[in-house]
Order: sequence, then C-alpha cells, then structure tokens
Amino acid sequence: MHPSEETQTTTPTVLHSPASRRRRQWIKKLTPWLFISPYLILFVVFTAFPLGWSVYLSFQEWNPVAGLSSMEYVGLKNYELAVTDPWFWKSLYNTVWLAIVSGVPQHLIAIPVAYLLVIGLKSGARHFYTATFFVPYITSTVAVSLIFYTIYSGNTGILNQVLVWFANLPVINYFFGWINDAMPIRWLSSTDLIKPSIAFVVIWKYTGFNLVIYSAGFLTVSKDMYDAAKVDGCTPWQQFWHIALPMIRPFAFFAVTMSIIGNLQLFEEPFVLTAGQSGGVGQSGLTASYYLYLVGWEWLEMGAAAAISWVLFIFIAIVTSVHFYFNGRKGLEGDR
Amino acid sequence: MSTLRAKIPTYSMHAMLIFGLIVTVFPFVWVALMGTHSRSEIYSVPPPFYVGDDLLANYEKLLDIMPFWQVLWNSLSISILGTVSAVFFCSLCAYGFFAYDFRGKNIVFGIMVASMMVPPVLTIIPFFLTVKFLGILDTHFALWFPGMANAFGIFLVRQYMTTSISRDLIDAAKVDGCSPFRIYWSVVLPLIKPALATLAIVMFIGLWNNFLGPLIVLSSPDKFVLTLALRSVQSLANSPWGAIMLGTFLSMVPLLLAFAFFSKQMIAGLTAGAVKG
Amino acid sequence: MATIEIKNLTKSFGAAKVLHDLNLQVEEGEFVALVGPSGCGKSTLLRILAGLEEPTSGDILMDGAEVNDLNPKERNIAMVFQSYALYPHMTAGQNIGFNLRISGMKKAQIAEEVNKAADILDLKPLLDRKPSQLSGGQRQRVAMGRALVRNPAAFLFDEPLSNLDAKLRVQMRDEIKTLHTKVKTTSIYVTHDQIEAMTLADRIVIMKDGRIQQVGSPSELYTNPANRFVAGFIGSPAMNFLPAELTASGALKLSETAQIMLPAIPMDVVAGKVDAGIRPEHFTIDPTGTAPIKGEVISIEPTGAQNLIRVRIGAGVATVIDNALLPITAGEPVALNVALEKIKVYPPEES
Repeated sequence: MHPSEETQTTTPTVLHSPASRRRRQWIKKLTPWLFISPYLILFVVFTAFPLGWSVYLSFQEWNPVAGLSSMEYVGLKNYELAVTDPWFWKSLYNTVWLAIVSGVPQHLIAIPVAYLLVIGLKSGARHFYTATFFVPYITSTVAVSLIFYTIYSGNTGILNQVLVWFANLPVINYFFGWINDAMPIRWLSSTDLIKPSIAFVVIWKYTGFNLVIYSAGFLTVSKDMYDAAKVDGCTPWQQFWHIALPMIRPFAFFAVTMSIIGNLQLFEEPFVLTAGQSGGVGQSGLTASYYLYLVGWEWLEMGAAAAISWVLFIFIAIVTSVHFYFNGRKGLEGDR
Repeated sequence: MSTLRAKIPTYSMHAMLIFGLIVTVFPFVWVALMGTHSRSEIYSVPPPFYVGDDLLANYEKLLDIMPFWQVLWNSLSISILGTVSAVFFCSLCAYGFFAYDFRGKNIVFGIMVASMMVPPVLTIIPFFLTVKFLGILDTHFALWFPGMANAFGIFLVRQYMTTSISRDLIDAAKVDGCSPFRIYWSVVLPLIKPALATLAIVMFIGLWNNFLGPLIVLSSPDKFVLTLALRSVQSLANSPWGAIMLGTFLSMVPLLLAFAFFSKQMIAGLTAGAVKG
Repeated sequence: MATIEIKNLTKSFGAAKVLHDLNLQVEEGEFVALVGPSGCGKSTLLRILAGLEEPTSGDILMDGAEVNDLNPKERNIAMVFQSYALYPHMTAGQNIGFNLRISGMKKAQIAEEVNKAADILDLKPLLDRKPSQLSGGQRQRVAMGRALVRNPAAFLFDEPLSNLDAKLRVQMRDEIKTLHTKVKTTSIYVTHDQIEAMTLADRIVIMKDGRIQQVGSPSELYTNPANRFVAGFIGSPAMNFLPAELTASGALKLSETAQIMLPAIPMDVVAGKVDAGIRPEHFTIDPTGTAPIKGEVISIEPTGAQNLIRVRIGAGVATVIDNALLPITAGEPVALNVALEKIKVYPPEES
C-alpha cells in the first residue's frame, strides 16, 4: 500500500495564475448564494417585486381580465372608494366580531381541557383524545364548511331537527319548549345568526390545534411543582390558577397571536357558508378578505382591491402591535 | 358513597370529553353516512342515521356534475409535485444558510423570517399579478411552483440541521474531497430525514387543502382541484347533496387515512415551531 | 509524503489576531506535534494547513509549491478529528472508502484498499457496522482508516485521543506510533497533552497565545527549554518554580536553610529576586538529613512506583520524586540534594 511502489503524486502542482486564483475565490464566494438562490429567485419574483407592484396598482384602475396595458392612473380614488364603501366597513366590523367570537372560545375551551388531559390521563388515552380533537384541523376548510352548510340547513337540516327533538323531550320541554316556535331557525340566512354560525365552525376547526399547543405547555410544568403546591395546601383549582396557568403564558401568547392573525383573515368559512353569495343576507357574513376577493375577482376592480389589501394590512398590523404591546413582554419572556 | 363523590370529577371530566368527542366527530360521521343517501333522504324528517343504498347512484351523479377522478388526480399531482420539490429546494436553501457564513446572510435570513409574518391578505394580489404577468394563469404549475422554496420549510430544516449535523462532519467531507453539492447530497440529506418527513407532511396537507390559490388561478373546470370543484357545485340548482357529500367525503379520505396511521407525526409536524416557541 | 512549510502565517478572526507571523518547516516523513494550552492557536493552525480555514496572510507550501488556494483534497492531506466525524449513516467500510468513491475509483479497487487499511488497523470484522455500533476506540481506528486509505501526502491529527479514557488513550497512542513507523507519512499532531507529544513526536512545536515558543526534539525541549513557559509545560510532574535570591557570585538562596552554589553564573538574569526552576526528578532526598536544602514535608502522594512528596522550601512549595519509597510522613523536616547543573534560573514572574 505504501510509498515507493505507488504512482502516488503527493501534492498536485497546480499552477495558479492570478486569473484562475481570482476565479476560484469568486466561486467560493458565490457558492452559498447559489444554494439559497431558489428562495431568493422565488421570493423576488413572486413576493418582493410584485409587492411593490401592488402599491403601484393601488393607484390604478385595472380590470384583470383585460390586458396589462389597460391600467389607468386614478390617484387616491381607490382608497377613497374603499373608505366610503359601506360594505368595506361592514366587512371590517364582521371581521373583528368574528375574530373575537371565534377566537376567544377556542382558548377558553382549549386551556382547561388541555390541563385536564395532562393531569388526568395517561399519555395513551391523552393521545387518543388529542388526536381526535385535532382531526378537524387537518381537513380542508372547504370540505368542512360544505358539511356544516348542510347541517345548518334551515328547514330540515339535522341541527334544527336535533334541537326540535331535544326541545320536545319530557322534562326539558318545560324549559325549552319555545324552541319549537323559533323554528325553522335559519342559521345561515338570517343576519343575526350568520356570524355565530360561522364562528362555531371556526371554533370547531381550530380548538384542537390550540389544544395541542396548550398540552405541550402544561407538560412542561413538572410534577414537583404540583406536589409542592399540594403540600402548601392548594386545592386543585388553585393549582390550576396559580401554578399551571402562569407557566403557559408564552404558549398562550403564541397561540393567541396566531389566532388573531388567522381569524382576521377568515375567508373560506364565510365564503362557503354563505355559498359565495356576497356575504349572505345583508353582508352579515362578509369578512375583510372575502370583500377583497369580491372587489378584485368578481367586480374585477384590481386596483381597488390592491388599495384595500394595503388598508387591511395596516389594520392587521395595528391590531397585532396593540396585542404585542399589551401582552408581548410577559408573553415572550414568560415568568420562570 | 364517599368514593362515588370522589369519582364525580372523573366521571364528569370523561362525560365532558366524550361530549367533545361527539361534537368533533359528528360531521365526519354525518358526511360519510349522507354520501349513501339521496338528497331528499338527507333532508327528510328524521334524517337516516344508517347506511343508505344510494351510494352507487350518488357516485354516478357525482361524476355527472364534475370530472371527479380528473379533479382528484389534479389535487394529487399538484400536492405530490409541490411536496417533492419543496423538500428538495427547502433543504437546499437551508443548507446554504446552515453551512456558510457570508456577507448579507443575516439580512437575507432576517427578511425571510419577517416575510413569514406577512399576512396572506397582502400577498394574494402580488401573487396573482405575477402569475398573470408570467402567463401561467389557469395552470397547475402556478399552484405548486411558487411555494417550492418557502420560508417556513427553510426555517424548519435549518433548525433541524443545527441540532443534528456537526461542523466536523462537513469538514471531514471536505477533506474527503466532496464538492459542496456532494456534501449536501451524500452527507447532510441522509441525516435530516425526520425534518424532511415533517416538511413533507405539512406541505402535502397545505397543498391538498388549498382553496384560495386555485380559486384565483384556475378557470378551466377540468383543471380544478377537489376543494374548488366541490365548492363550485354548491350553488347548482337542485344540487345533488348526496353526491356532493360523497365527493366531500372522498376528498377527505386520504388525509384521514394518513392521520389514522401517522397521527403523532402529523400533529408534531403541523405544530412544529409553535410548540417550540 | 511531503514537506510542509509555513511562512509568515498570520490569522485574525475579525479584530482578534490568533496567529502571529508563524514560521515552520516540517521534513518529509516527520512526526511533528503541536502542543500548547487551550486557545494557543494550534487547532487553528492545523485547520489552516488542512485548507479548512484561510490564513489572513502568509504562505503554506507543500513540497515547495504554494498551496494557499488548494482545497483539502487537492492538498492531498487526510485528517483525523477529535470527534472522529464518522458519517453516521454509513458503515465503517463505507466511511473508510468514501473518499475513494468520490475520486471515482472502481468498486473493486475500493474494496481492496479498504481491506488493506482494515488489516493494518485490525478492523476487518467491524467493516459492516455503523459507527453507533462501535466503541470509542474502534471509531477512532475507523477514522484513522479513512485517513490511511487515502495514501496522503500528510496526516493531520486534531486531538484524536482526547475523547478516550486514559487506558484506551495509551493503547491508541502506541498504535499511532506503530502506524507511523510503518507508513512514515508526514504527520502533524495537535494535542494539549504533553506526554502524548513527547512519546509520539520527532519534533515538538510548543505554542502559546498564537506564537511558537520553541521547536525541537522532546529531549531538547526537556533539557534546554527556551523560556520559562516551555520549561514549565514540558515534563511531568511539572518543573518547580521556587522563589529565591541570586547573588552576583552565583549563590542561590531558596530560604535561610536552603542555599546552594550554582556551577555557573546564569547569563541572562540579574542578581536579586529570581525564580529557580528545578524539576522534581532532579531532587534527591538525603536520609541522613545533611543535604544543603532543608524543607518541611507537606504531603505525600503515592503513585505506586514512586511517591510524590510536596515539600515547603522557604517561600515556595516543591514537588519531589521519591523513587526509593522512603518512610516519610507529613510534617517532618527533610533534607534534599539537587542536581546543580540542571537548575534553570528565571526572572520572577510578573503576575
């Protein structure tokens, strides 16, 4: 294997002219950029550059079906129109309403349930429940909304039927008999009920996701803490409130942030539950993103849609900043 | 008596949990059952909580109102193409961030992280503009290509690399004579399989369930994906709900099946980053 | 086999200069150890020689040709890492043969070379195992096999034995020594353990704070250390530094009860306060109690073959090697003889 018999060159005497030396250095410097080029190219082409374009577009009037050259400069007209359109304000109101009503219960349910699952069940049973509650999250929002669309159906939808059956049960009838008179409850076609109906679907879909996050959070609280609390005489409720809850603050902060940002952009649920009918009766189910879609793709006013998207972005940014301002410090640091 | 009292919390907890289970599971059971009934039966009083006999009829009706298998294939091909390309390109970019220090790296990385926080509301119009400008409206390409090297995936894989690949290993590969790409391909890729699996799960689910993208990009019915096709038949006159329920159920089956076998990985993958942070 | 030379090598990380203008020549087939305390720059130097790190200025030559621009493979060096850096997803055999695969060697020939290396390192039965199924010592041998199979111009070792337990370390040290005798490849070996350096190397390069303190054979470094640092670094147990007073006539006073006359007046030290450097092995205990250096025993450390006695002499404490295993107890007075010509005198250390 060794020395003399082998025709082994030790060091290849590669002559490096200054030019090839510079070329080598240049390739060395370029290599990392080559690796990340897919991201850079896609980012610039599909996000960064068009983002600037959309600012430009917000000052134009443009029908997307026509060619690109049909853009017409209209100054701030799009912004004016947006701000004076009653549907715009309706959609903002609906959006905030839905964000809160569909967001808050998710966490109010997920936190205690996560706590119970972590405290009360072994990991096998816990995983069974957690996984089952998680299933809604992995299914398509469209599919789920279609299913609820039939469940919510006014005349003979299953929900109404169940309510009627429930209201007519022997003892219950005394308290809930009035339900019969309220029939048929038009979950999706009465202005008062559209939003709660949508909210329920959102809660149904996302609570499981938050459940997983909070379970992980509660699992980080060591048994010792609970034992110490028991020794101190804490009741189970106090243990929950004073020990477990503060420990999951970072998780809660993250989960709530995601909920806020997500719920402010609800589109698929309202869209499908109102069967694409411009937000349902009285536009009660019209959310901001839905409105954006209408303006751009059904009314074909892309310029206006661009303006609206920027207004909405600022709106979301403000809401998120406020949230961060009030909850950020504690949320990000936790209090360990 | 006292033991019964002590057990009440447990019983009520289980009762509550089971109630939650029912609420969660009901829509799935409902859609499965209703796929076997005709529209009139679905809306009859009381509704039929048993397996009906219209399965075949609904199936034929489904094929009537949409090219179901074509649509299914569209969803499948887009999801697979998008997932495979994402796994490759995200890991490639992640490797660039992981193995090299270069001027501007922090800036680019910072931009990448920041871009993850930009709400989709702002990016759909730019996305549409580019797709139209590039002339790829009404193509599947526009649905899986732009998301190939996405910030989430790159971030996820890079995170994993920092915890499972030591710099010595890369040095050893350099000494062994590997080119940079060879190091990525032969040394790093085999060692980050878990992260790739996680990424694949998240990408596939996202692509399969994607609705907004197809909605604004696709216009030819034979190019539709499942989500879009199902929604488009919602408002037909006399929509055949039995058929639609069947179609909806079938569209959920692949993910539900995968979940039945891989629930732990799927949950972990979809909440990755959330739980850590 | 190649000669290696560095000329005026400097390396800075940002504003911090870690290597100052280094010059060194390594002969063909030489085994050179780079030793020094943590942070002295030895690993950085090794990585620069390997081509894994670029020097800020200066040249690296192999066989007289400048190799600054060449990557590790082109320099034809092989490296053995402290953490072994074995590819976890490949078997031992695949690990060893990986670089051959990269260079396009045919499968059959790769197998042949791998088997040859495995023979030399006694790895034949382990070739199909993955690194996680191997012990520390076995992994180290696979790492060496990977280097061996390259037939490189030079081996570079980066503290390869630091992760092994003491007994295994001694065993592997012998194997490395035997290997070098067999293959005679130019080797550069980084370690913080001076015993490893002393036993393995033809020449030792001692570094401190990014500068070379001395280059020489183990015995040179031991007998004629260039400065106090080298004197204190080489030799185990380490040299004693005892505060003393030096007169112009060459008398050395360690304490009121310890005075000796040096055979020659030290050239580069002024009379006055000094530190006397005396190796533990250069003391001898005088059982009769009449020797010139008197002190008090503080403690005794038995190591089996010898006792290490800690003795207070004046203001200082010295370690003395007692090969005769005399029945000494702590607290006793003791008289010591010293090999006068071996004493090194240094100016007192500024703290």
